[in-house]
Amino acid sequence: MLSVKIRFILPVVQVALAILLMVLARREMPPQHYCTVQMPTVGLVCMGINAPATLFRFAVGAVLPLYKLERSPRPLPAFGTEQLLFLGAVIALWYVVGRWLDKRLAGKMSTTAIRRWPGVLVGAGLALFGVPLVVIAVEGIQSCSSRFGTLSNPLGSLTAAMLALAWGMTLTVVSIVRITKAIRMRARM
Amino acid sequence: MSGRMDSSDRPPSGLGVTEESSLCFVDRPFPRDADRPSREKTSRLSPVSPDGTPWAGSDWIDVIPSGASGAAASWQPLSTSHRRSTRRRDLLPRSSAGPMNAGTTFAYAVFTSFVANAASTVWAWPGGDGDSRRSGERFPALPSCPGAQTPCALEVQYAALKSLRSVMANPCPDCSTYVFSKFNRTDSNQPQFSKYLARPPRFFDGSRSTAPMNRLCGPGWWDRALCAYGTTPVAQFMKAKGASAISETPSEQNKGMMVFFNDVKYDPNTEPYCGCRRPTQTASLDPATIFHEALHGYFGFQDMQLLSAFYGTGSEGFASVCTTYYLADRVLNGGGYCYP
Repeated sequence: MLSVKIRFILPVVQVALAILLMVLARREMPPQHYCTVQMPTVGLVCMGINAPATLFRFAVGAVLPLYKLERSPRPLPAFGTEQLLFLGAVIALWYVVGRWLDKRLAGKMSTTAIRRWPGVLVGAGLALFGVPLVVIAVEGIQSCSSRFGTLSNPLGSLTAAMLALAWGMTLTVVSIVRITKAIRMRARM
Repeated sequence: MSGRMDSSDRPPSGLGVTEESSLCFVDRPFPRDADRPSREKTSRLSPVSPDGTPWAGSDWIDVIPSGASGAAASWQPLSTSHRRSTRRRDLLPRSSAGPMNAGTTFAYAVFTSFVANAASTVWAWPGGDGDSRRSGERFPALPSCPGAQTPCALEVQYAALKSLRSVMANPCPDCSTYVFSKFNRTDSNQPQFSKYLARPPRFFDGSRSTAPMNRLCGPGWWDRALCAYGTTPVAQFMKAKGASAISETPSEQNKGMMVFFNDVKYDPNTEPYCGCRRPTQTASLDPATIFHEALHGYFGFQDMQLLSAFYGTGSEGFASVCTTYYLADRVLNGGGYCYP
């Protein structure tokens, strides 16, 4: 029987879902003659589901002038550089999740030895996404409750913030466990 | 009640209006460089704005001299001549660069550009608006020519703001009837809005700004991370949209409105449909434009929500400028623009 690994299925499914949601969001965007930004709920949900990828896109966009890679200046590219970067991050994100699930299903998680420094580095890498996600998600939830909703879409932005909070907390907890295990492993040796 | 809005309202989706109708016009283009003898004379704003209020962040709002591109705009190392001509400093002291002083290596060039770009981006964001000359590229000042016969953009906008402040500081039944009563919020009242208007505004030249559009999506990191427009520069966005003004929606806490203006030529033949006849009044729309942008900044409402509140159902196809017409008609100039 052909066994297809989750690490390959999950990224394909998630990237297809992300593209679908982005296309739907694009169709719901306000008409061109508005000069303000409104994010449709589906677009925000897509960003919440893939919150670490959203954070990655935002961080890269803050550092590198991605807009310079656009061929033609458009007010809102359907799939411009940033969107493609986001989709790439979605694939990477869900590949890592799928790989973890594969290991989990194969029962290799407990038997795999964690070396100290690689373990600490992986944990730190997870924390690098997890902690900022928690911080900005809490900020997002606060702004939803105290103002007329973020991006004039309180439902969508609250949903996205909750999803991001779930991602952030998961990544933070996993990173703490990972680092603790790595340090303990060394101590035993 | 039709036209009223509360926090649970979900604005309707767009009706697929073509890009040709993308109009965010003011009634006349603001004068720009015509009266300015040279850029050098007017490139730096005085700390006091034309209406006498202190300029917000006057220590960092400046204009990079013409010809300067900067690391944020071009991936080049900062050469000595460039630094001299632009009066910029390297982010890393040359003395600490060690052997790299002898010659600029590719790695150094990439590194410098990377750090400079990151720094200029971060400093342009919340809590980081400290002194950076690169802020001038992201937040370029409007052309200013104090005392000139034909006022420049900055003077025009400040005069409009002064006029609006005057209206809001005095009893204005129409303001309550036609604007503030339309929003079901406790802070929807004239005194509080007047206080917001009194804060030092942040007016910038949108035609030259390289600030990322997500800077306008709200005050928080979360708003900006989710913003659909990403890092598209303000100037590029305004050019593509044909927008005359865009605002930070909503404004940061305890700060005045942040508006980027652009010189958009008024074409009466492409007058947008607002469910009313074409404007006939010749009075300036500038105060109404400032009012419109201030509503974005104060409430955090988008164009769609303002149009829905003012015009009720059926306003989905209206252009952004219809809000300006409404405010001019109902509150400021007293009739002649729109009769929805």
